[in-house]
Order: sequence, then C-alpha cells, then structure tokens
Amino acid sequence: MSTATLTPSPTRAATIGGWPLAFLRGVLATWRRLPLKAKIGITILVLFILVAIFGPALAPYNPNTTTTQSVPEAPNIHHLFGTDSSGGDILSQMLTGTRSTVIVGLVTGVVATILSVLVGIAAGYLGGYADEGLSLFSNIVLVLPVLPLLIVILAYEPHSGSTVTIALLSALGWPWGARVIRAQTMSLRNRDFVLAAREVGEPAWRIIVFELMPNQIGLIAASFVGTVLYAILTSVALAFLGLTNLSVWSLGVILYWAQSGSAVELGAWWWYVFPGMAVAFLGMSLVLINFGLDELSNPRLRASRSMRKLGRRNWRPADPTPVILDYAELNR
Amino acid sequence: MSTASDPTAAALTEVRSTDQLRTGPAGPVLEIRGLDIAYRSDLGDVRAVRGVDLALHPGKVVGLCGESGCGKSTLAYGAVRLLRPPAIVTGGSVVYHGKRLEDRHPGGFDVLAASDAGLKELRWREIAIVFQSAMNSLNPVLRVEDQIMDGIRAHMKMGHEQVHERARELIEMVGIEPERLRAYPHELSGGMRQRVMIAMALSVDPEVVIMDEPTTGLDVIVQKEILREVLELKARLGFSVLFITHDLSLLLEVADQVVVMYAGQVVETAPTIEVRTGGTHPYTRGLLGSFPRLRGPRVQLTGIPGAPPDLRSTAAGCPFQPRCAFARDACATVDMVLAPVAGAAAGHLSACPFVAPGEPLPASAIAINSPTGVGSDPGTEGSELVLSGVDLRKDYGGGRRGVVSAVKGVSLDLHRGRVVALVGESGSGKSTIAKLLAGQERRSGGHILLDGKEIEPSRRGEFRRYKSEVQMVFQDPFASLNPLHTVRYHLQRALSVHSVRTGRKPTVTEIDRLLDQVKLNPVEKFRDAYPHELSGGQRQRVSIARALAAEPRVLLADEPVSMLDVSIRLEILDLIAELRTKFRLAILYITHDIASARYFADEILVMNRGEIVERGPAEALVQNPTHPYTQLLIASSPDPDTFASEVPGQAAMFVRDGLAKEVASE
Repeated sequence: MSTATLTPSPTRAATIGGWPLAFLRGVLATWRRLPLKAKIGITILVLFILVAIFGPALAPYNPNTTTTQSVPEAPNIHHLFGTDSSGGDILSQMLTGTRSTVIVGLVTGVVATILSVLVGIAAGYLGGYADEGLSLFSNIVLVLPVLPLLIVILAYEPHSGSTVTIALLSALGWPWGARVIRAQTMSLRNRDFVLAAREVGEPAWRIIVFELMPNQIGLIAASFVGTVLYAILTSVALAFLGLTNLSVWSLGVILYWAQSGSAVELGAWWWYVFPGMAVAFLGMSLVLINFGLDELSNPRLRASRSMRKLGRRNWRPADPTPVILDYAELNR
Repeated sequence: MSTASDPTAAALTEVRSTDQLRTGPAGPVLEIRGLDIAYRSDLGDVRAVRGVDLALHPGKVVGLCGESGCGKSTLAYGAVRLLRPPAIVTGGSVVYHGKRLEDRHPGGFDVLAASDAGLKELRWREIAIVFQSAMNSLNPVLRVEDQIMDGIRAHMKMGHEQVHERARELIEMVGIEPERLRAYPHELSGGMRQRVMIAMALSVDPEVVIMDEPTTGLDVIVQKEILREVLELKARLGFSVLFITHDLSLLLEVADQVVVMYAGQVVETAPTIEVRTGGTHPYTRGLLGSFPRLRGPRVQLTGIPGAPPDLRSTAAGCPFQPRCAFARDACATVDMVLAPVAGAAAGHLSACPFVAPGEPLPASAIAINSPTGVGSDPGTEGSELVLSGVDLRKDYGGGRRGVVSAVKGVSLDLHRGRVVALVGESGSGKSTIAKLLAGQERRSGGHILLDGKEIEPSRRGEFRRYKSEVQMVFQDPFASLNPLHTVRYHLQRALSVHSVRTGRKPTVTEIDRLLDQVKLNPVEKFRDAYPHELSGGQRQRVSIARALAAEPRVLLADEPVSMLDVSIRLEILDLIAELRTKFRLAILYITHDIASARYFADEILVMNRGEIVERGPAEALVQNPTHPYTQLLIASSPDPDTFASEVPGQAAMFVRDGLAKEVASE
C-alpha cells in the first residue's frame, strides 16, 4: 500500500489560527468521528453535568420548603414534577440533588481509575513478584462483597456524607480496571516499540508514562466510565437505604424520602419515577459512551455490524463480493 | 517425474481414478478477463485491480507476484468473490470451465453472475484455497481430524466411516503420519500445519487450488519440501494452481506461467523460462535484480528504488514510471497495454512498449552495488575488536517441563567496520543471541566483552552506558515505532538520552542531520510524520536513525529487511553498508537468507539448534560449504540462476533435487 503519501494529520493541519481555534477544530474533528451511541451518551452526560453546575441556581423553589399540606401533589403547572408529601418540589430537589450524585460519580471515577492505572501498569510492566503481589491484592479486593461491606461500614457513621462514600467506593472500585490494564500492559510490554525504547536507554518511568499509557488511553477511558457508572449506582443505592447524610439532596436521597413517605402506597408515582428516570438516564449515557468507546477502539465492531449500502442494495459482511458492473450507478 | 521413488506414490495412484476427464483439451479452466476491483473509501475509490486478464490452464501452475499492495491477493479472492464489501467488482468477467459443471453450465460457470448458492457449489468443491497463515486458518480448539472431516462433510454425502477413511488418506497424501490426525493445531510444526491446510484444500478434489503465499514464514528447507509435494500431487491429481507470492524467485522454480502485477495491473506475463532469462518489463527486471544470488559469480544487484503509487489516483500514464530506470517522457501519457513481446515465445506479453528483452539497463540504474566489493574479505587485521561474546548460553524454562537450551555456547567477535552474518532458521537461536548481546535478555552463561573488558549489559547501572556503544535495529519496522509518536519524538528522545556522552543536543538541526544520514529527504517532509504515514522502508530508516543517535560502535541488525518488500530490501542493506563504512560500525547481521548474507557480510556464521555449525569468509563458505546443514540450506534456497538441465514442462526445483536428497540422507 502506498503509505508514502504524507497526508497531514488533523492536529497538524490546524496549526494556522492559533491554539484555541486549533483545539476547537480538533474537538470537532474527534466529535465527527465518534459513533452515534457515543454522541448520544455524551450529549446526555453533558446535560447532567450542566444541571449539576447550574441546577441549584435554577431550582424554582427551595427544595427543603415544607408546607402544611400532608398529601403529595401531582405534577401541575406550579410543580412540573409534583411535590412530596410535605409539599417539597420534586423538580427543585432533583435540580439540587443531581450535583451531589454527579460529584460522587466523577470523583470516585477519577480516584479509582488512578488507582487501577497505577496498580495495573505496575503489575503488568514489572512482572515477577511485584505482579504476583499486586494481582493477589486486587483479586482479594475484587471478591469482597461490596454492598454488604459498605452497609456495615456506613452504618457506624450513618450520616457521614459523600466524602466517606467516595473514599469507600474508590477503595473498592479499582480492581476491575486494574486487571484489564494489567493484561493490556503485559501484551504491550513485549511489543517492539517498548523494547526499542529500552534499547534507546529510556528509564522505566518514561516508558510507562510515554510509551505504554498513551497506547491504552481507550482502555483507561472505558474503565473510568465504567467506574463512574458503578459509583453513581452504588451511591444511589446507599442513599436509598438511608446510609448517607440525608440533609444533603441527591437523587438517591429523594428516592429514600419517597420510600419512607410511602409514595407507592399513596400512588404518588411522580415522587419516585422522575428521580428514578434521572438515574437511569445518567446510567444509560455512561453505558452508551462505553459502547461508543468500544467501537472507536475496535473498528471491526463497526465494520461487521453496519450493513453497507453500495449501489442499490445493502450488503452484509457474509455476502459474496458485490458485482456492480455499472460504475456510474455505483456513484449515484 | 521423480515421484517414482516416493513411498506414498502407490497410495496416491489409487486416489481419484475416476477423473479421466482431466485429460481433456487445453481450454483454460479458469478465465479472468478485464477484471476491475475497487475498494470504496471516503477518500476516493482504491482501484486495487484494473483490467486484469488471466487464464489458468488445466494442470498448470500460474504464478502471480508483485509487491505488497499490488493487488495480487485482491485479484485471486475477488475472482471467487470472497472479498467483503467495501470491495466491489466493477468490471470484467470470470468464467470457470469445470468438467463436473459442464452439463449444467455448458458455456462455463459465470462466477460474477452466480448466486450465493451457486458460489457455494463452486468454492472448495471446485476452487479451493490454501490460506497464507495456517496458524490462523486452523481452529485451535478442534483436532486436525475434525477440521478435515468437517470440510468433506460440507461438500460430499458420505458415511462417517468413509469420511474418516478419506481424512486418513488425505493426511497421508501430504506426508503426515495418520496418528497425527488426533493432534491439535498447536501441537504441529508450522510446516505440518501448512500441509494440513493443503490436505483440506484437496479434500473434495477441486480442479483449481489457489495458494496464497503458502510457504511465507516457513524456513527454506521446509518450504522446499512442501512445494515439491504440491507439485507431485498436482501431477498426480491433475488440479491447476494459482500461486500467489511476493517472491519471484520462488515462482521461477514452481510456475509454468508467471504473471507480474504492479499497481493493480499486469505488467508482464510470460512462460517461466522466458522470465528466467531476464524478463522484459523494467519492473520484472527490477524484481529479478533484487534477489541476491547464491550460485555462480556475484552479479550486480539493482533493486527498485522508491515506493508504489497511490491506487486512488486516476492519472494517465505508466504507474511504474517514477521508479523506472528506462523512463522517458512518453511514459507519462501512454497507458499500459499488454502487447506481445517481439521475438519472444507465444504467451509472453509486456506492458512496456519501449523496452525490448535484453536491453541493457541504463548506466544511471546501477545505483546499488554489491556493498562489500566482490567476494573479498578484508580480514580482521587493522580493525580493532569491539564486542565479543564468549561461550554464550541461554536456557529457557526449568521446572516441570525441563530446560530448553536456545543457545548452547556460541562465541563470536565483532570488529569495527566489519559485517558478521549470523544465518539460521527460525528457532535456531539467532535472535536470542542478538537479545543477549543487546542486553535485552539475561544470559544463562558465558561472557560479553566490550573492548576486551567483561561487562554485564543487563545490569541496571551499566545498561545505558552499554547502549551508547551497542545499538539494535529491530525486525519489524511496523512494530518498532510507537504509533502515537512522531519521527521527531523518537529521534529527540534517542538524542537526549545520550546527549551527555555524544555532546549533541536534541535540536532540530541534529534531528535533520540524522534523517539526512538515513536518506530521508527532504527532511521537513519526514520530521513530523507519524509512523502510519510512512512506508515500511521509511520506517526502517527511522529505526536506523534512532539507533545512530547514540553514535554506537556496534549495530545489531536482527532481520532488518525480512518484513520489507523485495524491491526495497537492497536499499536498506545498502544504507547499512554505507553507514558501516562511514562510521566504521561493527555490524552483526542476523538473517535466515544466506544469499543476502553472501552479498552483505564479510564473515558468515551458520547456526543450527543453538550452535554454530560452520563459520568462514562469506564467499568461501557459500561456494564450498562443508557442513551438511549448510549444504542443505544452500540447496533449499530458491535461486533463479540454476536451470542448467532444464526439462520442458518440469518444474525447475526438481533439477537440483539430486543434491538436496543426498544431503538429507546423510
């Protein structure tokens, strides 16, 4: 194949116009290449992040407001998502509570991913006893029953707030990522370009940071997204069980109040359906991003799934080579 | 035919006695006319095959060759419609004239018009394929037996006993003991796996067998055995072969008709014997000139500088023109059309209207000379010893499975300005020696001496200092550069790691100087390129530049050209030879190709099973090999030059058989 033709890569072509413009162009070029799933996922996630940032300011009511009423109010023009049994506005509670849920998810994702990258790459690259020890350690953490353990620990400190939740979720959430990254590191370690970097005389830390890590950025990103999802779902579950500071709003806390306020018995579906759907959408956006990343890093997933339209019909990968003798028709 | 002495000959005659039709008139069994195949892409269609004509006659071997990306595999797979979209056949016709299909398809089976069901009837039953990589084509979790039997059952109605019997028959036919039927693919050697693939291809008695690089990656001795068997089976069973390879010298041994492709087009097609005498088209001649010879006097090698064109372009004119030594102004406008070569045998067509057979190369073409001068070993006097390995040993494993000794006490000396070639087959331990000397692996025994002083290269403190003296060039240029870093980054790092010793700062000027040394000009074009934007040859030049950044005295080159196209191998070897002279580098050239060692090295060490079996000055060793293994190695290497006792209709590789068999029986 004639690889000799030097097509300028998008990043280099963008040197004209200063770096902010170049950066924007790079982002745009990357966006265009993303699979549809990732685009949808990222759009939803960005919406949630915007809500997390501006939600409390946008909330029409004080979420803690209580009125004298004792029956939940169905959605109406004043309370779009209805109210809880003491008259609190559900929409305002959600707008306020999204922040804490998203923060728990993202911070846990960052901390746990850093841990998994450190442990995974160290185990994979160093090998030998270091690998044995680190693998053993991650396997032990991996088989710990997470939810019961969290319940037991958080029960000591029932209203501890999100810091303790984040710390615990991070401490328990890294081993999956570490295992995957370790496996990838081990296969990369023996690749020629890593041997060549050693041959040049590069120190080990440089090989890890500049040769190995950039080559598994997709994997690290996927592991990050997966961890965020895990953290959000688990923190919601814990809040639902009341194992968090109930005076700070989060999506899980709304669900806790809905449950303790007998929303189901009262037929107040809006009390749990809207926050529940918010959690579901947030989770779905992360799953979609993960699928999208998967497709991005594995072009075969894309090629084999998509039917290709050539000429008048679609072709499946298993079809015999299309014969389209009329070239003009093909280009129609 | 020399098969009379074959022990399996009797068994073979019993197979397929019903096919009396095979001896019919000589119309082609597979006829391809004006075939066009394109790959759709967002950046424009890649026209991988353009207007190719090819006729395969019964019982013949047609060899298809060319550089990677020339369209040879696309042509073959497209002709049986095995390519997946976005590949499209955009023109031409493919007609199969099989005896068994004659009743139903009187005018021949039109492959391009065939339905899915029709193609099922055609594939495997009529046209079988031996794929390139036997390891990837065999299912690792199924026994060989089951895989062969599956193929038979899919196409023939037979009882279980009969199918089993047929599988036994097939495996014996390709020279494997029937007991091995119970084996899993990983328990077989590479050669055996390829034989299994051949047995599977022949399982339902096809009339045409397409062989896609069937021996690439195998050692020359195994390669030769397998090819001989294929030809014997062909003579016995009467199928025809479309043989695809990048190695023209191999075709000269096995094919009846040679088809040379370039940039999706056929540039020359000729009876093999006419190509042996030199070919006509400048590209064919370039390919022939790229093979170092083993026998006869050292001839001048020419190679083909440059890289193939972008197949998306629709520019008029000859696509080979930019690389052609004979190029003239008219080439830019004249489209390539195959035309009979004046004064040559029938069936000899060339796409170049300007160059006649035997026309001497213009003086400007002889750019690449045999690097070391004809057969002279300058000797070791006056060139100081830099690096030596004494009694090197390397054992792997231990524990339950026992120890495997990859290297069993090898000693070698590397002198400045001198090339030592280490020749051996895969598994002989030659790459392990490179890794030991490079300090990439810890040795199990022996000593490494740098300037006469013992050194432990893999020790933490000494490694970097050692690396500034001894550098290594890797085999696979596609794997040895980090795909995420630019050329500039790679060279910058190498410069900065060694800047204290060399006194060279990692500046643009220094990077450009390195690029210029490896002839990557203009340097601006390559400085910021990513590896994927470069061709294999260019990447290997970057690797060499990176090794040179440390200003080493020793260069370990582990198969530096084996992954590259034949036409550019010489360029890279020539570059290394030039650097050797310029920097008085001591070079260890590791290769499986003894012919290239003859051209490139001063001294040859032949290695087999972890030991050096013979060593001597390159020319003398090749001319008069004394150890049986060296003799076998030389006898098995394809060589375009030995066709002295040519018998028409008989493949050339049998001519030298006398020698090979004699050695093998020792």
